[in-house]
Amino acid sequence: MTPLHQYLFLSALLFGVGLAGALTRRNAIIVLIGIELMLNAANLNFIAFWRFSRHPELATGLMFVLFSIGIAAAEAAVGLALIIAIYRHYRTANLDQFDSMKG
Amino acid sequence: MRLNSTTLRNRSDWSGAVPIRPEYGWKIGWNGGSRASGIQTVTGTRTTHMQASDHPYLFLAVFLVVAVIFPLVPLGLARLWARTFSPPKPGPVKNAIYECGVESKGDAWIQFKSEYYLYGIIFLIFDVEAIFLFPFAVAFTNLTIGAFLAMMMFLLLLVEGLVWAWQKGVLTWK
Amino acid sequence: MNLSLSILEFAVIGAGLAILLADLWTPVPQKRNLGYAAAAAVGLIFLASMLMQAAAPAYAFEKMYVLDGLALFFKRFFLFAAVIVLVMSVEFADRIEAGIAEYYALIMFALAGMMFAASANDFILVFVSLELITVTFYVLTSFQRGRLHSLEAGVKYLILGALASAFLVYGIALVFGVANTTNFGELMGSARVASARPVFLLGLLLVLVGLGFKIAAFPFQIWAPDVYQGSPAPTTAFLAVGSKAAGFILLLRVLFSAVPEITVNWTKLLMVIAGMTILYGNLCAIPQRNLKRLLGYSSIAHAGYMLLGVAAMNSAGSSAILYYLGAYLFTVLAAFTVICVVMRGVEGDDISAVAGLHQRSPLLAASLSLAMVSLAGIPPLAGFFGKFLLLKAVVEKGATQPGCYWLIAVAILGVVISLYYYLGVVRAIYWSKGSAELSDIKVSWPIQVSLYACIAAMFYLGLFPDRLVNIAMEAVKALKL
Repeated sequence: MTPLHQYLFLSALLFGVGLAGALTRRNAIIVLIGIELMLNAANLNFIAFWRFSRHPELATGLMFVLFSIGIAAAEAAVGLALIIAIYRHYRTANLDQFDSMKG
Repeated sequence: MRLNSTTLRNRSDWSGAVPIRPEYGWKIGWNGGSRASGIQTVTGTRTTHMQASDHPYLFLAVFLVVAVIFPLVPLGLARLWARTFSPPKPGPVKNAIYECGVESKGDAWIQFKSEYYLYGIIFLIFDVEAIFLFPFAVAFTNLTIGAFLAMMMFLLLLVEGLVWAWQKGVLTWK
Repeated sequence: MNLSLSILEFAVIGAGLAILLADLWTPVPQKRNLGYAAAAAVGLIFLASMLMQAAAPAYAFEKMYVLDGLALFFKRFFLFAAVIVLVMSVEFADRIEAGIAEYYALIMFALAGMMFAASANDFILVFVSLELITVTFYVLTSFQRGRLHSLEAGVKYLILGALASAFLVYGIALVFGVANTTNFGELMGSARVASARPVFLLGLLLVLVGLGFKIAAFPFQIWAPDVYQGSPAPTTAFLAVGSKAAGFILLLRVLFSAVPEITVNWTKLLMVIAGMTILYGNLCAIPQRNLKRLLGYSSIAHAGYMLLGVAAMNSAGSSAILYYLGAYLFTVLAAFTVICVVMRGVEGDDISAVAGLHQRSPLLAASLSLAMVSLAGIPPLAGFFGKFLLLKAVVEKGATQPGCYWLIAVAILGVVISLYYYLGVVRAIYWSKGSAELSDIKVSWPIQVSLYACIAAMFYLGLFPDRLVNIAMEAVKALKL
């Protein structure tokens, strides 16, 4: 049986990789991928905590993950549409170049 | 690392209706060479007159072997054929990207028809909304009327989205 | 399970869907007027909400959803804001190239999210309602597809918003892992035990990061100016009022009804955040020439003032937040309605566009000036009394926490700084020279009605604050203070 802390470690690692990707990469799509990784790290946490809890018959953790997946998809759909729309203007998906507003 | 019928039964009980005992639930997993011993354990626990060939996992193993052999043999034959009858003679014409048709020019980041993205995004949404049907399906037999109606409302919302997209002409490929 | 408790939300969602469907069979020239239908529907729901009572908290959806005085207060707040925003967006309709009916519908869906947020009693509902608000706002922000600023604001809001929600979910996961529940009622029972675990505190801090992003509190405020500047004016108004208030109701619920035992240890942290937010917002607003961007920075500063009420940690502070939000609602909506009308055809939303406004339309000039004066906190308008109540709550706290007096000094310094840029706008309206355009501005009657309503409310709340103060005091009894 894989102990709980290994799941938590993996999830923290995933979260870290996602955060690093979101903060260091400049391509909007890669940043979104990083954020999805962070969300999935949280989902993994939920499932692990739920599975090791004293009352796994209460499906709170599972339920949260279902909502989280659904919402992440909605976010990704809106995000991709937005990035495509702005790509048409700038001919790039590089976040550093979206700087028409300053001050 | 045992894989026996008890664990399998517990796995199918993930609906949450029956409390799951973690000491069984997490014993599923492979590590080097455990597959064969697993099969033996299972056949051993069953009644003695059963043959090893009765066990469903043996078929899986057989399928795996066949699945590997089936593509490998023609590929090997083709390679053998190529080596003996058509040895490689590279040249500028032969190494061109396309031997026929128009050569590709420019960036791969060109604009696709916007319908393409619309299809993709609508597919993504409807695809993922299906996850809410999983708990519905699992708990279907002991649902209350209220819960059933709530789920029907959810489906109606999806249908509303489909009607909207359809009527807006998003689904017609121009 | 009592579905009838959330009848208001269902009515809003139903009306939004009806607008979407009605759009399919409405001829193009008429589409714009669907906004009036939407505003009328939301207005009716607002009136219906006035008939609802919430003497004792009532629960639905396995105690995920609570209807108490606080929830009802915020539901009315959001409904009223949405009516004005919908009227404003009809005015804005000709600047949106396509899909104006979807714009109305999205405003209503965001409204439904805010109303669910007002009733959240479980982290699951916190997350889902917050995302319903945020994801609809990504679209509302970038709705002017042809305008670069709008798209850019949308992308920035999307990236930072998604990052904040990832923090929020991870935080909720950690809280759930230690406490084994996401329900606020059950959390309060186990928080004392769980507070010994650093993982639990880390989880709560990450949740606060997510909520701090929504209200644009100090370290998480970078998105606000760009998004306020780039968005269409009705979106900015709804963002400033609705989204911010939703962040505050969730903050109050999490801090004072889920984990009140832990919150008391965080007074210093909240005080520092409040002070920094006030200073940052006010200092950065000084050099701004773009009116929407200026209001973006000013909204950061106002979030700081409201955080004073959170840091005070008494019922006077929380009720002051409610009062302040009420005053802020009318003030900001009046300001953005004027911006929406005046900035037609003006690129850049520069302050010079309001020069000589009193000759072009006295009503617009008066509304914008009164809004600025109220935001600055000058008596007798509503904004003054809100700031007074907040500072009074902090002074009450000062008896036990001497640092509070520093915080009060910072807040008053912030008010003094803000006088400069708010009165700068008033000066531009009445006393600027060389205004290029002096043609009269026609103001449609729905806009006139909403402006008069906002002005009347600003004066009423400033001169007779008792009634709203009593309502706010009654509403915060739902919190464990």
